[in-house]
Amino acid sequence: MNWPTLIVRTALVVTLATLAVGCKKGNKNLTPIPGAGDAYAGSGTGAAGSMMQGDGLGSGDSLNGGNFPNGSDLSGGGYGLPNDPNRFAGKDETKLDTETVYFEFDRYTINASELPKVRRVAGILKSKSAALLRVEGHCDERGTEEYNRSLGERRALSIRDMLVEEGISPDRITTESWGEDRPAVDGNDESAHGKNRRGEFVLLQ
Amino acid sequence: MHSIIPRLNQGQALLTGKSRLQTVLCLSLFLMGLTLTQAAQELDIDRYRQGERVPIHISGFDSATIAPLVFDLEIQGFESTTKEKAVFELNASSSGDQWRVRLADAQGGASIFYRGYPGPAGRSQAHVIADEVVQAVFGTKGIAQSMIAFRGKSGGVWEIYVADYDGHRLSQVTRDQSHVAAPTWIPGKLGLYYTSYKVGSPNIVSHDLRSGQRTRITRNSGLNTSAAISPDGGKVAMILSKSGSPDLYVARQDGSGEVRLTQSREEEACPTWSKDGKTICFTSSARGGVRLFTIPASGGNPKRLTTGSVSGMITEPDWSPDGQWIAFTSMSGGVGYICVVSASGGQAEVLTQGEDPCWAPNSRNLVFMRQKKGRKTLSLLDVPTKHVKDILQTAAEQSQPSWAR
Repeated sequence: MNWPTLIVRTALVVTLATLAVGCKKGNKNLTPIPGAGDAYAGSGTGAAGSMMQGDGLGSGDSLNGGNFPNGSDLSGGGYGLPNDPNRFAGKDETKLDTETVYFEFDRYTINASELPKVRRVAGILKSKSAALLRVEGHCDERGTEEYNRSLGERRALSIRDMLVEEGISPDRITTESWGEDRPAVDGNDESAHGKNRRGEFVLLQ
Repeated sequence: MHSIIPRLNQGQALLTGKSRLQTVLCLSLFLMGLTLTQAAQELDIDRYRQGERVPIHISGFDSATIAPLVFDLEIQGFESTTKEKAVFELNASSSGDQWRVRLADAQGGASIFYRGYPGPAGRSQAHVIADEVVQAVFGTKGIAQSMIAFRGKSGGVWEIYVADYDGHRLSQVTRDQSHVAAPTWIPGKLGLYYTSYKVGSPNIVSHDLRSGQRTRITRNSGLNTSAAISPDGGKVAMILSKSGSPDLYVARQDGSGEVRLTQSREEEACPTWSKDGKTICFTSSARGGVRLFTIPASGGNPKRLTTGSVSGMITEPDWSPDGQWIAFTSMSGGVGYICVVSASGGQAEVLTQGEDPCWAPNSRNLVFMRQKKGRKTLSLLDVPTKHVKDILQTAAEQSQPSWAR
């Protein structure tokens, strides 16, 4: 490849990339998480700014060989949101093992073969009107850790979107991504990877 | 083809001028007495800025000092070798309860520095000496006294840890018996941000390591992760899924005043800040492949960061503190490669196998994760020489390193 061609191709790729990112703004079929606005202001448990003063990281800092003070409690304070994650805590949990949805590598779209599972879960939620649902998103190990955390969330949200399309209120569903941190099975072949790229359902009652 | 990997600053002649020597003096915490002699001859240091390791002969140190000293120097561009092959000679001699260290031209014998140190020797003094040798030879600040944070897995649970950059002097930061991810240092402070699963959904918390005070930065359902603090400490970039898809946000350091920067249906991940705090580099799959983009921190259009012929899933960018380079991971066929590209994009260079690179404060070394026998372990890389060393493994698995800077 000569240089002019390379430059033209590079320019084209850059242009397409910009267009592609710029055009993906449509939020059709995306279901925002209720109450997750910017309404949490003022609910902090401490002054986050306090650590910014007078405690610079100097070359004389020592780690005290493991003698850091224990981290303060994180459980207080509440969320004050309609979709407060605490609403999903403290319930009896039933994992719907047979309905686990599997994904293609690096994809978050739900295959036709997996649709009946999602519809069955929607049916369960319709028959148990007080029940809530946690959708857990997981990945195989072939991505990087934080990218997989985003991808796992995207998968869980795809399932959530489909449940909403089936008539389930988004208020009843919470998502939780574990990325590659909790594989269903060990192993580094496609058999293991395929079992690890998944969305799991946990019924909360 | 010329290597594009980071080199040391050009034009810094070895030991010319008084100010350099005064700087060395100020950095010497354990300085007791010294003799300074101008190097008799100027050594051709430029060849060692191109990726060749600097041969150094180290002698006379006791067993507690020699191992960390060799580690510190070899990960910063030196190669411990015989006196015959050496360019520099680093010799220690003991005298009563103190001991003396001389750095000299190995062949000509001229002293570069000659200092007394209080006994007994050991790991922390090895770090001081190593950084003084780096300063004297390269004119740059060493990293042997720096710290890293990471997450470690023991007994099936991930917790946050802090240690010296070589993995020694470990401190456990969290004891939540829950789950944590993505620790990152607050620039210049003894404090971290990380993702905690203890609070219902994964949310970002800040943690002052001196007081133990923890503060929730986000309070949302869904995903809240991948915090990155701006170099001035004033802002946090992060990935939140509240819109219905994981997107890039920026807020003040306490989480208030957040602004959503991306609107794609696809997932964004892994933000990192430019040196001037004006630009954020991040990962997005918004056009099919998993690629790097940059975006103004105040909002605007994402722009693709080119990586030349390096392809695969491109994630985990980390902008060097000097602003010149972006290190990242390219995953291909399930194997990760540590790569570096100019911050303006171009042809990236593949350095070694591994994932999740994070720059040291010297913009020369990286700490990264690599799998060994199916376990995640941490290693250090000297980018110009591509020399790799493992840090001390103190948990069954270790990942997501962040270098204090």
